[in-house]
Amino acid sequence: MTTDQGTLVGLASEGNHPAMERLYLENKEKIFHLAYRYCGNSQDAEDLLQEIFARAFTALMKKKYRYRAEADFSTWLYRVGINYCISFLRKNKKHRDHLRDKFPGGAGDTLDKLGANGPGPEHIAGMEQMKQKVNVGLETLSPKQRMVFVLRFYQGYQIKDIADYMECSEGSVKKQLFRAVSRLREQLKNFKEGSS
Amino acid sequence: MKQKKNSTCGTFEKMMDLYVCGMLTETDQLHMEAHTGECPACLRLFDGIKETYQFIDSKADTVPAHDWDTSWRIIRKQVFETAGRKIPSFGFRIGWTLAGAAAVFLVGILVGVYLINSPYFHNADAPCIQRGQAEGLKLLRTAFHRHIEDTKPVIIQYANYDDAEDREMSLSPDREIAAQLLAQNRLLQGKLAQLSPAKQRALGQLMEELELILTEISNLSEGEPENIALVKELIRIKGVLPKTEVFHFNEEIKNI
Repeated sequence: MTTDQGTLVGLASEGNHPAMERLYLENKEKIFHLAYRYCGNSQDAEDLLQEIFARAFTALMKKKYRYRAEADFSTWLYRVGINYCISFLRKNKKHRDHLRDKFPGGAGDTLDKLGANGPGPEHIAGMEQMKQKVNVGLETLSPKQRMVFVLRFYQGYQIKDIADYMECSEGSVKKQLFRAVSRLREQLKNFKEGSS
Repeated sequence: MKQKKNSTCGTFEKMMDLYVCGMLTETDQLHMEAHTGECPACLRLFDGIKETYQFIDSKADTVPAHDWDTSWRIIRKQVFETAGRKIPSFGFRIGWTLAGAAAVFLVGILVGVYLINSPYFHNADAPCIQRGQAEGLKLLRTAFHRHIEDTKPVIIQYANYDDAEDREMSLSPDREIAAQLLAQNRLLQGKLAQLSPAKQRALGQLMEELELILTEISNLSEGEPENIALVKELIRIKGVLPKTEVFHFNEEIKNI
């Protein structure tokens, strides 16, 4: 952790607004990208972004984050984000399953279209079809499998880094990744057979 | 005509998953390439999967723009509303709980200080310390040996699975045993850190492969012999049985 970031964290833990805002500006994109890739729609990603930062800053002010030389604030914040995303999906899974049954084209993609006047499923082609295919597949994964998948393929992290972020063993990450990939493969096959 | 799926195609699909995860060995990669040369259906599947992961990798599905300022205003409001909330009136109970915890902590400190100042802890070479360490490693070695011995019969059974003869066998006892062995496997994986790095590597890989196979067995369903054949193929590909034999005769591991 740089001295500058250390100073900002110290000030933020005392409730300093500008310090918190600076930390937010430095980390907002990374957290939003994670949230968007994980839940697949802007609305949930926005809620996740706000909730993650609110929790992180509240924890700072309650002195629940301890400065450690080997783990900087951004890494800690990312871990908070990962854990919150997983618990968010677990709590909302039932609601999303209901939506998926109602809109079999893919809840994640469809949620974005709910308020819009976009074209219906019959007009989806090319890239949109691929996006829909992947979203439908991701919906079938467990929260943890989905997170490992997103961190590996969307965020581009190696197994070692994912294990560090998720605070588990590399073996556990490999297992979750293998299961996620296998399940996605089955779903992609079914999607292709269904559409043909 | 729809091509009949055989066990090789099933193995190919599993290899493809390992390939996507970056966990496929070079030998298995060659087998994969050989199979795509022979099986058009699998080649189509492989091309489809590659196309999907190329799409994901390209980030063609871009992250939308976002109103950062509005989000910041909401975050700030949430944080300072939470900070401004009154603490509920459990002060009295919390006070006694904290006092009790502090007392236990203090007693623990005093006991610790006494033990540290005792003769045994001054000398790292004290016989009781060395004896304790040796005993611990011996128990760990026994535990690993016992675990491998327990797992071998299950692995051998599935390695020798014959569709004609074993089709009618019930799977539920195997699933239960596999689940128990899986728990044991995981527990022992947690103990690997006590070993030297070289030993961790050797044992760690075997334990991971056993975990994969035991997980598959514990998830088997009745009436799906093709999945049992896949487990058999997985055991063969990973070479788990020969490795368990090597475990016994490998002097390095034997002398943990």
